[in-house]
Amino acid sequence: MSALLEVGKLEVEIPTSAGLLRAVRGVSFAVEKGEVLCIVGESGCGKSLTSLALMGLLPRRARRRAEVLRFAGQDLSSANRAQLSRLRGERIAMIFQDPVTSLNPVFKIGNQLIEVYLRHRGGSRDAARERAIALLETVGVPAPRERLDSYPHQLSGGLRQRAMIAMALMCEPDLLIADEPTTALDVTIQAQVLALLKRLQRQLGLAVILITHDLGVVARMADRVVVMYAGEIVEQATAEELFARPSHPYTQGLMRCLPGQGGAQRLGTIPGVVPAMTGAFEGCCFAERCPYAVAECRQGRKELTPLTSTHAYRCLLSADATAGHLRESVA
Amino acid sequence: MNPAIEARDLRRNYRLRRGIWGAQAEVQAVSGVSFRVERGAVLGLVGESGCGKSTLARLLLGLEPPSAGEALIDGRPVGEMDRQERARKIQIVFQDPNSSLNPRKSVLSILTMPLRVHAIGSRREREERAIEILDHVGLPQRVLHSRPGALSGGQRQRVAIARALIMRPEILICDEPTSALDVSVQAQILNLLQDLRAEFRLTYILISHNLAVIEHMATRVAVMYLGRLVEENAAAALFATPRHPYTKALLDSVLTPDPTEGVPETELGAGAPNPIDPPAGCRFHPRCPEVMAACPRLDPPLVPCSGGLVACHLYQSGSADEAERRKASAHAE
Repeated sequence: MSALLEVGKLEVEIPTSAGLLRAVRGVSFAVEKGEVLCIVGESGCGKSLTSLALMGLLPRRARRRAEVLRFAGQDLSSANRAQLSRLRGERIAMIFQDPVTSLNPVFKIGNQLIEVYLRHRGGSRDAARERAIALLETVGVPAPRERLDSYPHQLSGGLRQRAMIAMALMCEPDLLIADEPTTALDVTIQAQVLALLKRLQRQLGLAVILITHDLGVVARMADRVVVMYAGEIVEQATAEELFARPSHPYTQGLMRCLPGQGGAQRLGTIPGVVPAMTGAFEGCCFAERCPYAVAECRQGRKELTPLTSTHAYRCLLSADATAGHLRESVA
Repeated sequence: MNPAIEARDLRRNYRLRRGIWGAQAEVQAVSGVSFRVERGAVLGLVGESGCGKSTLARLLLGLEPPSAGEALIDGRPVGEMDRQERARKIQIVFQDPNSSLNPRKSVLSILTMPLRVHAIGSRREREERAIEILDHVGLPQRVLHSRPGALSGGQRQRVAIARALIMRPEILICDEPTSALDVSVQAQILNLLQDLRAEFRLTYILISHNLAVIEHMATRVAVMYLGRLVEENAAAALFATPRHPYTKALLDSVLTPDPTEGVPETELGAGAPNPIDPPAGCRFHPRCPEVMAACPRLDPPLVPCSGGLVACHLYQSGSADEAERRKASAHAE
């Protein structure tokens, strides 16, 4: 069976006054039907641009190239605008971090939900309305019938995000791309929204690409994880593998930075800053900040090394060597 | 000895209209909050958005007067101090350094601004103090003539911390100091705050929605819900055995990086409370999984409980008994 979404060697380039910004370089992954893939990384690592590139929603100046970009057997890179806009909202839906900016403030919630359905599916307005009410109920919005007549500003942040999710689900999409969907929410609401996403994913067999910087969210939600750094995938694994055996020094660094794990009073840090993503790329992009970097790290280009059939990382050092260092520094 | 900072039954109401012609309504953003923070302690203040954490910070800073009650620093009411005196006692670091630093000023100008306002030192002395404080927050001297836009997010937050410390305050309020930062940068800033606390013998009030940050930093934790303090205890005790159902729900919602655990299903309803029209009795009762007969009727006061304070009928035998008696007498009729 072929995957629902296949991405092969995706490149995103943005011309800037400082030169060509190669924001996403050679990113390949696949998403199977009904699984949650988390893309994790810090700001500027290209995780959001990757998702926008899939949807054909990049800023106008940006250029996209990919060897493979296929959704349910259909080639996305050759699809024209009309074909893409038919896919978007119907078979691929997207929710963003801030529901305030993605809902139109001057239309009622109900109209916005109904419009999506009528546009893709047609049919009567009443049928669409009933579907909107049913979905608002599914996502846990109290008094859904009355809520249809609310404007976005009349809802709390958690309810707005639920309304966004309901809107994304109006046409029963196969793939939901969620870009930091809970970052703006309180912890209790975050847990509720994530639990809802997980439940919907199981019930509807939905595939989810969840973009986040929060390793806690990754651990609880992901089936598989892609770790991005400076525009590249540095590690990919199942969630169990990633947390049991983080193998790229960057992944290990991220895990050491997490507070609240007891023990050591000082948190681990990753010194230095993300490199500029312009100009020539030589060697490992993490070498400048890596505690294990050796001379060879700054030359050539390292491909992803498989550890198991599902776990691969991009580093010269053996995973056990870096993991040994990790244990020492924690002890 | 007086505590470094103390809140005595602090209240702050805001008046607002519902619609342009609507009736006036009153929001109790902070309604009767009391606590003491000892010198050198770190009080973690947690609660969901809109619970009054930031209003409380404004009251402690003296940025606005309380409607009732008072805030005391070193035993002196904040309201009696003038601006200059306050600024030498207490300072704040905000969440987002992008909006709290003037993008058109150089780092030097930003750092020396408080000194200029307070007419401290000559131009040269002010510059020396700016250089000195930069060193304390781990920034190189060369950023002195940069604008905030040329710095990374972590560097900007360091500038914001340096600006707060240049007046040598005793108390620093950190309002979500790392929420806008990446995890690796967050770790650096938290380490820096720990170092500075020891170095300058600072007392912190740390406001954060990230409970992992609170657990890492705080010595005591105060949990707020809808303008009220619902629980207060030493950090270790509170994280080990939360008492109030809201505190329990908060801690249950924390996503520790453990892939063997699923997403927690908290039993809180989705309905966020309306602060204009708070529920009668215990303000948390409509969402509380352990609600009892007394909860909608009686507002539980804070009572001592295992080294801390908690405001919940579960821990108030007296009022719970009374509620049961009433229930029984209602049945008898």
